[in-house]
Amino acid sequence: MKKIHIIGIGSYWGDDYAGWYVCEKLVASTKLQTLPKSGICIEKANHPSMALTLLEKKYPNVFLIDAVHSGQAPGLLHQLHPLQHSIQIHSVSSHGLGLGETIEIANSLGYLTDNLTLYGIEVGDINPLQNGLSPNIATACQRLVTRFENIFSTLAKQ
Amino acid sequence: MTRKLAIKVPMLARVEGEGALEINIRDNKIKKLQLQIYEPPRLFEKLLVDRSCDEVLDTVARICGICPVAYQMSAVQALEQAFHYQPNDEIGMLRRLFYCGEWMESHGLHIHLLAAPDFLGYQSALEMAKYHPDVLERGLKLQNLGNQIVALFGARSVHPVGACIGGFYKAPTDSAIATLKQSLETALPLAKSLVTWAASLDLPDYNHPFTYVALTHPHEYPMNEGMISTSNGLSITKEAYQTHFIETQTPHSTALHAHLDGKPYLVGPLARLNLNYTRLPAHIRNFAAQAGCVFPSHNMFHSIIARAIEVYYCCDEALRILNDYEGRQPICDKYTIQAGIGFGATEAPRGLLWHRYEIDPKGLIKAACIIPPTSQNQARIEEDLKQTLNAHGLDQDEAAIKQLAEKVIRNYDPCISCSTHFLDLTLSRQ
Repeated sequence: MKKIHIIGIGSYWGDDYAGWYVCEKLVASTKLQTLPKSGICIEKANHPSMALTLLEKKYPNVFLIDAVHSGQAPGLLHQLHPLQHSIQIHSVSSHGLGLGETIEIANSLGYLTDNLTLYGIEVGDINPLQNGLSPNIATACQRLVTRFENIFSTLAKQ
Repeated sequence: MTRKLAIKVPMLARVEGEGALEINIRDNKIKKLQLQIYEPPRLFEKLLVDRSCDEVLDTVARICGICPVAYQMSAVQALEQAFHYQPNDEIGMLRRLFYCGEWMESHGLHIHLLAAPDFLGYQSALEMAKYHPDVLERGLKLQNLGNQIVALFGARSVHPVGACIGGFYKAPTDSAIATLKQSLETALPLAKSLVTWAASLDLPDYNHPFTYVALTHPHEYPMNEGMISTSNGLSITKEAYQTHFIETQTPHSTALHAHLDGKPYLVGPLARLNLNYTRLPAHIRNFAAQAGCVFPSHNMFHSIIARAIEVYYCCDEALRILNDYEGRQPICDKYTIQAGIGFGATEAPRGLLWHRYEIDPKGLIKAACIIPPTSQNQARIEEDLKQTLNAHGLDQDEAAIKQLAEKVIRNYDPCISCSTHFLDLTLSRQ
């Protein structure tokens, strides 16, 4: 079985929780239990630079999940392949590393394989005081959970 | 022929927060130089008023995503002083360990992602990563280890929530301590190589006299306690801080400037190391000396070496604390709320962080004053810019002056968001 690394980036601040939510649902999924534990690694990172250190594990298949804000309808699910397409996802942060920089640096450090997929969950303005996800973001996250569970089922048959 | 040069950097890159620089030069003389901080005031001191003392630590942690532990440690020291509460020795050591994590995380970030590109000749860490992947990888590992330590006690590395008046909400598990010890042992060679690497950098050679200020302690390298000491020989208690250090407003900054007896001064790693070099363990001093480090230093660009030595020290100190930790004393002691005034002074990664709180008999905050390192360093940064640019030569071309000026500012690792808590508003109605 091909090893899979799923990294959710997020926080408890409103819809920024999306990446963690998906990871927590996957860890609790019964479909995950059908797979050998050594084959899949699901981890949460609270900022992109932490994801960078997790990427050092160099799994052959890597999925990054993060809330993104591109101005499109909240709840939209983006599926991107950062190493195959030129994607402008640079951070506006002046101090920390954004996701775009994280992927570029991980690539420079030789941490990435060709099979890197970024799932971006489109969110609106983040309200840090909001308790839990907005309904449309929760629905998008659940769609992503189902997509991963289908991958798990396929892997279990191999 | 009259030469006029107006240099404007509208948005400083690779610093935290929003600031700008404006320099006017005429006939090779600086006519105007302003580090302009235009980040909006964040009013934390006012937000705390009438809130319970229990809310202070989690609130002040939100001041900074890079150095939240520092804000928590200065605040908890002040509140516990007001309550006449003395934490047990083990809590004191665990707080020191918590602080080691933050220094490693903050210094690791600054050295490798913000400062190193300046000294290796790259525009950004991204560009640098292609040619010096090993340097960046080392930095990220050390930074991440610092984050792990903060998360062990704070439940998360950004804006941690594990510290409280009296100690911590939760003790670390034996397995978490064992894992951390192993990680620190693995990281020690990396930290040592960081010192060697920093000492080998071709740093600009500008030596100027300046005053520096840091905590000093009779037995340890200062983090959580000590006297406030200066290179001029002054040594005062934290309660006496405001009799010597005065904050004033300037039109070009939303952060207050601070002066010691009317003059700019430096806080931060270089100030700390200059005043406390002999408090480092002998094996670290010997290692630094073999790498060619000489302290005290009056070259501000040696700050990166000071940070590297502190990363090594934090690795070493964290291991020492974990080896000594027995977990026999309560992780959080009981205390009694009472009215009072408390002061806190600890060493944030960027330097001295001073707090003062007035508390009423119900434990509500009636007044708060927070003086962060970056606001203390503002006047010193402007002074350094004048000294360094004059030494460099104001007849140089504009791009070279601009590049050096930005390098000087970044060398202080300014945290502009931290510095803008307060706005003294005078409203006049007619």
